[in-house]
Amino acid sequence: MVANKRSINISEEIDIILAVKEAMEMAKKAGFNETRQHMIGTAVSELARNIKVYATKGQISIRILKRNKNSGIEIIAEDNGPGIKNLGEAMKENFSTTESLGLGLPSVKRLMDEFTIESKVGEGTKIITRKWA
Amino acid sequence: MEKEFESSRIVMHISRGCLVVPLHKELLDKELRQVQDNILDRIIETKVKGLVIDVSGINIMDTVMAQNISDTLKMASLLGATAVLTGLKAGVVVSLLDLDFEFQGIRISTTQEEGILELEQLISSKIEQDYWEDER
Ligand SMILES: Nc1ncnc2c1ncn2[C@@H]1O[C@H](COP(=O)(O)OP(=O)(O)O)[C@@H](O)[C@H]1O
Ligand SMILES: [Mg+2]
Repeated sequence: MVANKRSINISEEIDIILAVKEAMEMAKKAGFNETRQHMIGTAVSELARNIKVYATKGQISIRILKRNKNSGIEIIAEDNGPGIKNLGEAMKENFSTTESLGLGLPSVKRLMDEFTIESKVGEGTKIITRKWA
Repeated sequence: MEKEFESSRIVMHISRGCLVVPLHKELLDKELRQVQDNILDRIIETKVKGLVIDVSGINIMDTVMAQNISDTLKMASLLGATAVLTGLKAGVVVSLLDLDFEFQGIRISTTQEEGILELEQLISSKIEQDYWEDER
């Protein structure tokens, strides 16, 4: 049985794969079609990867949402890593402090319906994102 | 199927003069990099003139994976193997659009079989061209 709420600790590369798998299962349960399950999985992959790369460890929490007759999914990515200095810049296409593409955060925003990000330097980063079926 | 090579749970083979690499889901980054190295080694070793990377087993392609595959295809071309990407799923295509990732300058075919066919045609027309150039 797939639970309505799940939390996955991210500290190794394999955890990214596990988080994606979990998110896809829950998206299916929430009633998303296959294509949209893949979009959600891709968003989780980018978020979990950022945790691993920039914060070394953190957590992905996934929850099935109900609103009137509509269902959806909520993904929260949280870490106590270094935080993001300039959020405006981090959300821009092709901005990266490493040599990667810098497309992760802006694409998560496009793949999902709702997106909020909070980050404090030295404290960590929290991203809440939702998609409705 | 003439020859098989295995790396990181990925079995590649040579079919009609093309190196065919079916990628499956759930590859770690380091496995993906290893597969990339192996593909390039095989191309040098076997001197194949075509490379097919088939991603029909992939559901999730994030920016890192897309970049790796795009790099592999480009490097293969530099090594003299015409490269084609096949088997993109609808969910992957939709996500790639949202990722804003473009497979620029990369040949894409629907299925593995079509990819090999396209390469066969491209490679034979290239050989003809070389032949005429040699004659002159
Ligand atoms: N969880 C995080 N903690 C700290 N910094 C982060 C985090 N996620 C993203 N960032 C910062 O935001 C930038 C942009 O992230 P992203 O859009 O995923 O692109 P990329 O990972 O390719 O650099 C990163 O280069 C990094 O500096
Ligand atoms: Mg990223």
